[in-house]
Amino acid sequence: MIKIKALHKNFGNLEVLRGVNISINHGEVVSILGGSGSGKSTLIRCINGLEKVTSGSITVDEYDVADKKQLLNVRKKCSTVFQQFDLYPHLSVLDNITLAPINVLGEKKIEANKVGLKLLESVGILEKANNYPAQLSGGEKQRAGICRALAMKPDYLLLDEVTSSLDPEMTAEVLGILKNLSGKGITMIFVTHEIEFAREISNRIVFLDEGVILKDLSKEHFFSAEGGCLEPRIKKFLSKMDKNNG
Amino acid sequence: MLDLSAMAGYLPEFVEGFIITAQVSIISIIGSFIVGLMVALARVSTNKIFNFISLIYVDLFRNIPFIVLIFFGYYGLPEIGIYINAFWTGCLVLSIAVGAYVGETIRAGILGIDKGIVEAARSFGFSKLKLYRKIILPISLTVSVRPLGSVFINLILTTSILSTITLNELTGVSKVIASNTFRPFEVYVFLVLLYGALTFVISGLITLWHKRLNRYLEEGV
Amino acid sequence: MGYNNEGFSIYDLQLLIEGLGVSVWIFLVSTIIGLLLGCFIGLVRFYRIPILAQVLMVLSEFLKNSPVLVQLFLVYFGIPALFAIDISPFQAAVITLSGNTASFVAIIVISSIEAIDKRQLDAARSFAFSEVQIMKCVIFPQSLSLAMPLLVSLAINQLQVTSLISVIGVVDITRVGDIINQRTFEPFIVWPIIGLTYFILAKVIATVGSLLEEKYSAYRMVNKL
Repeated sequence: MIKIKALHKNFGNLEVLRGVNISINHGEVVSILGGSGSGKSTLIRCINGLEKVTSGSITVDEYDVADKKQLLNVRKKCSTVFQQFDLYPHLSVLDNITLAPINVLGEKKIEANKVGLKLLESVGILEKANNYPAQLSGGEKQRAGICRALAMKPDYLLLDEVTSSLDPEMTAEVLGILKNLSGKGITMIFVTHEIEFAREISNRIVFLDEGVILKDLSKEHFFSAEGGCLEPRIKKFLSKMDKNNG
Repeated sequence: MLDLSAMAGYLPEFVEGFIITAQVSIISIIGSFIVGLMVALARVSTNKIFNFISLIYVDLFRNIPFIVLIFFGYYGLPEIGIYINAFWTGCLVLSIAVGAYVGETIRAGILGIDKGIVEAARSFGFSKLKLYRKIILPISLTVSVRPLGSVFINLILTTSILSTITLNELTGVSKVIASNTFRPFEVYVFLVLLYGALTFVISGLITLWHKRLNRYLEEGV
Repeated sequence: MGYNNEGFSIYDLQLLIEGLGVSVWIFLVSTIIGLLLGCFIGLVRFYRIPILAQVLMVLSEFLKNSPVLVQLFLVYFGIPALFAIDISPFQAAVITLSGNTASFVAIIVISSIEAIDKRQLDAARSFAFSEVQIMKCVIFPQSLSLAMPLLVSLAINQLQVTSLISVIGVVDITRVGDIINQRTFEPFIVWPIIGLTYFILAKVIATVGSLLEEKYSAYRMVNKL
């Protein structure tokens, strides 16, 4: 379980997160929606400790993110998929995937390669295993990024705007893969603009606005007639997104 | 332990050495610039012979130590009937040797010019000579101010090697002062600081000049 | 030419080969020490270790911005005079050239680390890599690839710088040239041979360097989409 209590995060004078409280249970698929500047990406970066919190606490299972030693355990449990893919350019796709399992988890190279190839096969880019990231399309890079995250056998998958850098066709590819993952018991936390996808895949929707949680509802409730989407700001956000997608 | 008082009496000698260093540097900067400009033009010309000769020139003078060149010049020139003193030998060899670096720097500036600008100028009927004089060289020299500056700073540091052919520039007089005062540590530390301060000031001025000349590159879109 | 070549003897060739050995040896020793020292300075400055970073920066700025010849005099004549210790020409040469090389290597190290996209480092951190592992697995291989062409041209430059050690009496190629020249008065034969020797050495370094460059930059040379 991920527990976030009274989380504040400032960048200088700018308050990005202003008292976020949320707990996420095992197996949940949570979408965090919100406009740009709502603090949703920062929230993810706080969970895996890439940003230091200003105040408040985050725990992942029994581990405290603020503790330097425990942070490594948190990071072993949580894998992140990044908006800009952020693959290591000097390594082949397969080596990108196996680098952390071998060096962090201490897996044997042969085993790690086996797992890596299986993952690549499952996302349909097995033939790219020995290519460098520069030789892949954006969609293929992000599929490799997902494999890299899954190779750590994480309990939690953090997905930070994973389709924002992709064109619609590639977006569909990547979302298809993530949808396949959602039924498999892995806890997923999406930061996303894709409302339709959030509706399709997640069982809980958190709406973040100006650094605070405006609504935290089950998907059914959020999209129902009397649900969260009636809140004026959410309504505005949703209609804007619809226009963008239409 | 450190004793600077012994050095103080030699201030006039230091100043004399400094003046010689400055003179050699200025003359050689001008000389190497002229040589470098010719080398750069030969390097980018369409004439195969010019290309070849300038390529060999650059390759040779960038890969042979300056001290070997200066000894060759100092001992060799009288053999072929050219009798010039250490000062002018230094200026000549510096101009020839550093000209290779200047040439490559200017060439890089020329190659970096947007092809569109050159084609636009051609379409207005510029002759080749005018094209170079009015467009290509002004642009390439402007963007090359800073890299040329580092080449010339290197030239100034290289003048110290002229002390080996008996020229009493800054390093040469310091050798004399060091052995007269028996204070080599103080003398050479002072010299390192002096050269360091000199290049620091010059490179600061060059950076300012470069920014000023290239300000149009940053402003406006 | 009116001169005869009687001044030359077979021993001159032996002398030249010995000088070549000395030049190459000092070049190799000072390059290796310079690389290690330069990496150290570069890392201290990259991680902004207080005081040490500033001290090393000022020191390496002066090494970069003063003539190597003066640095040689400082080490060979200055240090023994002040501290009453003996330093051989060979030691002075190695100390000076190593320090000088290190100050340039440090700049290359810093700039090639800073050229790496910082987001990758965050990605690696998020996968529980330690900072040491990130340096080893992510930063180092890429920095090496970026630094290699710069290190090769530095090496070619530092080879030429070794010629200055002849001035403090190390019998390297240049000193051998000077000795033979003083005896034979044949500058038009002696110095072209010495120059050509350096030229060939530089080409050897360039060739080895381009092989290394190729080896470490495979990922940047692929056909991009």
